[in-house]
Amino acid sequence: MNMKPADSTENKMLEISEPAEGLGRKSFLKLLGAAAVTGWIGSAFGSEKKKAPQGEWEKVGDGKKRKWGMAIDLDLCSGCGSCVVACHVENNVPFTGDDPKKDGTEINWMTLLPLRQEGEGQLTPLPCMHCENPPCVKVCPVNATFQTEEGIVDQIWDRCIGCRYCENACPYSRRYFNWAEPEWPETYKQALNPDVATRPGGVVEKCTFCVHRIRDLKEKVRAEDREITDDDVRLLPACAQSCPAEAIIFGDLNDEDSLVSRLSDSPRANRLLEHVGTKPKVFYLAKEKPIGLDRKES
Amino acid sequence: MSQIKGKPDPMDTKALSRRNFFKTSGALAAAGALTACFKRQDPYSISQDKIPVPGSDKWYAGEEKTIASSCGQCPINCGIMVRVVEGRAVKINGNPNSLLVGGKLGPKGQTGLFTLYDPDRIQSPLKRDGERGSGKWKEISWEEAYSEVAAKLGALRNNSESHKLSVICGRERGFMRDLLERFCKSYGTPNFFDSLSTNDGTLFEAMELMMGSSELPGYDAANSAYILSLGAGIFESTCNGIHFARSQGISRRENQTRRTKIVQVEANHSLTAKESDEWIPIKVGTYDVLALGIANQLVKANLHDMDFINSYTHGFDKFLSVLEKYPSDKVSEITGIPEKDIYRLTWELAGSKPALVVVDARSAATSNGLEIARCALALNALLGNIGRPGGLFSHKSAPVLDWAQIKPDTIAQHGLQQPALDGRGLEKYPLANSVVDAFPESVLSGNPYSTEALLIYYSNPLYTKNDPEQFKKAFDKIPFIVSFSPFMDESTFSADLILPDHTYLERWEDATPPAMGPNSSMGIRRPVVEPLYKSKNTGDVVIEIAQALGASVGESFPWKNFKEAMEERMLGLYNARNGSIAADDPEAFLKKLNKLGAWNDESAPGENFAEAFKTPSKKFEFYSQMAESKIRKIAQGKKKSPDEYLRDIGKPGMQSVCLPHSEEPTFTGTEAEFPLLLRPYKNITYAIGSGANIPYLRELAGLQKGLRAVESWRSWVEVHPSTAEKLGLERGDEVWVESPIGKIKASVLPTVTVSPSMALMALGSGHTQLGRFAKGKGANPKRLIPANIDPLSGLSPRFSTRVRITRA
Repeated sequence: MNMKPADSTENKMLEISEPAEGLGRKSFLKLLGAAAVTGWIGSAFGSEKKKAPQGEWEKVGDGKKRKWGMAIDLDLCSGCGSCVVACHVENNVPFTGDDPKKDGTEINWMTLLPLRQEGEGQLTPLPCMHCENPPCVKVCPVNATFQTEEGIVDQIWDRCIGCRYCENACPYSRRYFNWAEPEWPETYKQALNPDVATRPGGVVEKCTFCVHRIRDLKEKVRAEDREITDDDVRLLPACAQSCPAEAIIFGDLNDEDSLVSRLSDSPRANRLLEHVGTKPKVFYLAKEKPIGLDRKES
Repeated sequence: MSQIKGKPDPMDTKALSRRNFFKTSGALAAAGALTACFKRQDPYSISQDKIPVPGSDKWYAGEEKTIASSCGQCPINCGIMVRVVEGRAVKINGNPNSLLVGGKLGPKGQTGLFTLYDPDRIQSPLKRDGERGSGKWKEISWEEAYSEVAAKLGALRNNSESHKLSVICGRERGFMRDLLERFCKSYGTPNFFDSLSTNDGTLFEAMELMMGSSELPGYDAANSAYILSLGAGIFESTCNGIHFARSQGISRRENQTRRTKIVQVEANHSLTAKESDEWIPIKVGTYDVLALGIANQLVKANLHDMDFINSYTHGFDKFLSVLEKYPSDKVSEITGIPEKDIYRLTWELAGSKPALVVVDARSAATSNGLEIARCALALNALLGNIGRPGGLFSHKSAPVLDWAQIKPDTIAQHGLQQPALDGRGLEKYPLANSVVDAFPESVLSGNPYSTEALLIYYSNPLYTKNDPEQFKKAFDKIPFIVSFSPFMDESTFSADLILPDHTYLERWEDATPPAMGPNSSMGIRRPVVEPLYKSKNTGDVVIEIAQALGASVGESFPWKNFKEAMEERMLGLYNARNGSIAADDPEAFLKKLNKLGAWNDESAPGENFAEAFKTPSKKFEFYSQMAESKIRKIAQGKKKSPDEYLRDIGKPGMQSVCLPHSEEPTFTGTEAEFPLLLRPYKNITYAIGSGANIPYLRELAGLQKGLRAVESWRSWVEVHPSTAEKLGLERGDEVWVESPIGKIKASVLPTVTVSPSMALMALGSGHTQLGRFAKGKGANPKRLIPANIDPLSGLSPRFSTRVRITRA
């Protein structure tokens, strides 16, 4: 495996050492180890080398290309779980079943962060954060997960070798390992969404911001000879489409007039684990005071 | 690529179908790495091409449609848009034309696909072939099935025993309910049972007594400035919880000038309490006292809406005499709410117009449910919030036509003159319209007569009713039971003949929505895919059976099929000419309706109170004249004074019963022996059990409680950590939950949000049938709850027993 030029390994380590300041020592080592073991870097990485100024409030978009992002208004969210089910059905995410052997193997691209035992917080919808500085992409040894130029952290299922580095690297636990070939009853297979490939056993899978819907939309606007508007995308992903309270809003963070970009400027807006420097593109609008996974630490 | 062709040869595995081609190339385009693996289709992806679909020859490869219809996963009937690809339904979204959902859809609706594609559906008519409960069935043809039913029911009628047929119908509204009721009337039986979800019944009854309505109250929550929820699960279990969530979304998002304040009064810090702006804990089942206490303060401070009360209400002076009995110190003592909070709530309610007091089935789940519902309605009336924007509305039903009157023949008339099995409207249950919980008792005692045949539609009493064992015993005594369920649920398993219905994605039907604020609307449900199996629309089946029976029964069902019967009534919408669909002729109207999926009338509701209140006084009745006349009549028959009679059935005197008053909730079991109150609750996902065979909903219910997916298939009992500590129990410990009538196994889930006096259990698990995903998973809390029917309302409260928890 040590066939790659030494300098690219260094690049890789430099690249991760920047945001790693905010990570715990363990996570840092995890990332470092991943880079060292693989010793291989895909060519797709180089493009996003913007350094995240630590602790500074900064928009994730660079103002040029589209940057897809999401805003979730916790004041509107009632925790009904529509988004979770919509995501499962749209993306052919398998259910787990009651077999004790399968304990802990559930896959929820969109999940609900449970209430804390102290009664704090609330059920919080948790999709992939689609970080602008994604730790998962950096550790993937085979370039199976990558960031599109529009900011989506996507994955090619067929290329994944199931090493689970990305699952470890993700500070939000938004990646799920597919422990076995999904088993649907024969009749359920008829309901599978033909736009989304099912995943084999042994790969890691995650939320894609419903990239297939974006693709379809692009084809549609091309046919209609027009540009994508904010109205087209505001409720584009399955979770946003189903949310009864319209708590989930999708759109282009680089478009200053888009709703998602305005919401991300709200004084109520915050992001999860901001201090680790991942620059997530999912913004939460707080109910009363800012809540986050890291409230205790900060 | 050829345009119109059949499906690719399933044997030709090398065939790259158009869809797979797009799937693969699409993924690659997104990846921007088209060269990487262009040559093959994804070998791991499950291909749908090999799955046979009925009617797929009518679709060309890759053809896709979005069909408007209506959801049937719960009684709300939200509008849906179903994405159908090559004859397969692959996604359900909300229908933007539907006022109920406006393009959104809750979790239950999203999983409709798995109702359609359930692996354990009943595929053809079945006849029992062996002992009852042996699970041995013989497939029969529809013709055989019809002749069998017609022979049995015909014989009963010929013997002038038509009243010995009972029908249990689980639909609260809609044409199918009307069709079955019509069948009963023309056949000649008074025994048509509404199997209401137990505690909605209290609201239906309160609405009938006070507003003359036969629907649930319609809350215009989106336009309210202030919502006081008396324990209602407005973001969880309320029948239109998704509607509430959506209203709040609209109000909080778009209303820049004010924010609707939601105050949740409830013993537990529930999900709704969490989503509300304020949570006020209260002692169990004392909402009626609180409502009367607030009403008393309103009147004392002269904050009530005198204009409304003078013009549109009846019996206010009598109600005043009740209010005097609820001074704030006494109310505070009973409810456990500090006096200052009672004053504050009073002033907040009066100061923010329009303010709304909300109750639902969850508030009214105790034995005094009817009183809770009535007191809350009375409080709304005092505030003058009835029939006004942001207030409470009685149902404005869509202007559908009625079917022609039936003319019962002599046999039918004879049958209809018999008293109903359950003693509804008689001395036992004077105010009830139907007492399904009394059904087992009557069947078992054979009093006033035996039951020879039973039809079950959309109902599963052997699972959903309190103390289902009693129902099982009753079923064993009935010689002929027919079920129309497409699923092998507990009741269907105990039937003799199964005539499987289509699922809601395969049939024509109306989709009558519940009351929802000031607007009226109507939806339509249509087949979005070809029927998968040899099932049939029960509407068609009932018409066929009626025609086979002939005589007055056959004459009452002159239609070719249910679709024709439905369209006949739908034309009322065309005749009204004021809704969202304009058309030149009836045919064009129906076409448009089918295409759009919903008809709405959002014309300003006005304040036509004469029309809104269908009570004897045509006013909102604090003092219910209907209750008075019913009770008087019965007491006269018994040659007693009304007060005496009421005392006999354990109720306070006439004056109190006709007015909203408070009663102490009763619980089975003593506190010493059974220290905890069992609070069975409906969760948002599988309600009282009908969605328990959908894996996604099971796992979502667990997710909302912070359980792992595998854990969510078991039953759990939520107790306060202090309770768990006292019992020496930890999370996940197996325990027996034991009530005076039974015990079930569950695992402990200590939760801080639960009141220390209670044990919470989600309804819906513990099926003994209902397919592979429901059978034998968890335990049914209904087995712990005795029937305890309230003599006035005839309803069996759900929150009415005490339990103890012991290590298993």
